[in-house]
Amino acid sequence: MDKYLEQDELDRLITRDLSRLPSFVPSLGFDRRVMAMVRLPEPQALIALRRARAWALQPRRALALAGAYAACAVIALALAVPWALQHSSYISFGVGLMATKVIGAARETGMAFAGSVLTSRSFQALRSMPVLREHFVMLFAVATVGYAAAAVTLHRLLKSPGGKRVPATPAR
Amino acid sequence: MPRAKDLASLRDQEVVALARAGREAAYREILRRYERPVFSLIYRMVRDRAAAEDLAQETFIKVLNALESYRPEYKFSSWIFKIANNAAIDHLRRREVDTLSLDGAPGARTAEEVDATSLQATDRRPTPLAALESRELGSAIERAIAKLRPEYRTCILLRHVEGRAYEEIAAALDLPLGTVKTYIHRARIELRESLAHLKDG
Repeated sequence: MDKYLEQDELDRLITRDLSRLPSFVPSLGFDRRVMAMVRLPEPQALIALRRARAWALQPRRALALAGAYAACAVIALALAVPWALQHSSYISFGVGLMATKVIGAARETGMAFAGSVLTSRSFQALRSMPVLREHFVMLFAVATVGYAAAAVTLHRLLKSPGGKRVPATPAR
Repeated sequence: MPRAKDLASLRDQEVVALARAGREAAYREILRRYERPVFSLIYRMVRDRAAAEDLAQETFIKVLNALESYRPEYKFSSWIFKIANNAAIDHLRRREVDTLSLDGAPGARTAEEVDATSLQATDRRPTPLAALESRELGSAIERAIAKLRPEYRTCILLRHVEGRAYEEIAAALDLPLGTVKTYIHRARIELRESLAHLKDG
């Protein structure tokens, strides 16, 4: 009897220890390595678009589609032009009104911006500075040197790496 | 469409459906859910961290690239564990062949032939990786698990470490339910025998 009790106790302990075993994690970057090897399916919309393009780009179908498009365009023009001529006075009035509104809004914005600049502290400080001819010369010189330095740096960065010259024919 | 953080609340089948629709976040979610259990199972099967990582990577690449062939009427976990287990068993078989070849070519008959064809292990000192492995898998129960036959080992790990149902294990290992129960029963007996001395001590 004791033997069975002991066995049960050991079984219980083993089951407990098994359930307490830790889980292991792979090294850092495991998911990145896996994802780099996985082919992701394309979204359905993109697949549909690609299929539609492939279908439409076949020569005969493309020709038929172009013909249909041209016919639709001619019909649309045939309907739109007489209508526009018939309602030209309304259209010109609407366009004029819109243009006036847009120009007015742009003017208001420009005036507001200019006003804020002219009344700003930095502009007042700049205005009160005694500006000399030498200052302009110095500013121009700094800008020129900076531009030249940037050009040289870019040239160095973009220069192809120098290599050892290899003779065209092997030396004998 | 659910956001990445909402994916955690979805069932496996729903996440797989999103992955099939091309959602990269769903792929990452599958990886996040099964990274630990799959790696742990393989690591305990092969007891070699580097090999376990390669095999786990192989398993996930196989699973994620074949999501189209997954049938949603089966449990996703059974499918992924089946692939992981097959990878581990294949590796153990390959390793067994490699181990045999260390003892010389199969055709070698005399001692000289065996010597001439056997591979020489030059450095047997434990590497940092081996030291890590012996620390991680060094407990008495881990050693006892390692002594089990591979099929018993998979069953007992899936049942008691991963907490999977018998039916799920049977599906994952392509075994009849009765066989799974027998394997787990025998594995418990073997574990009991291996660990009995601890109880006495």
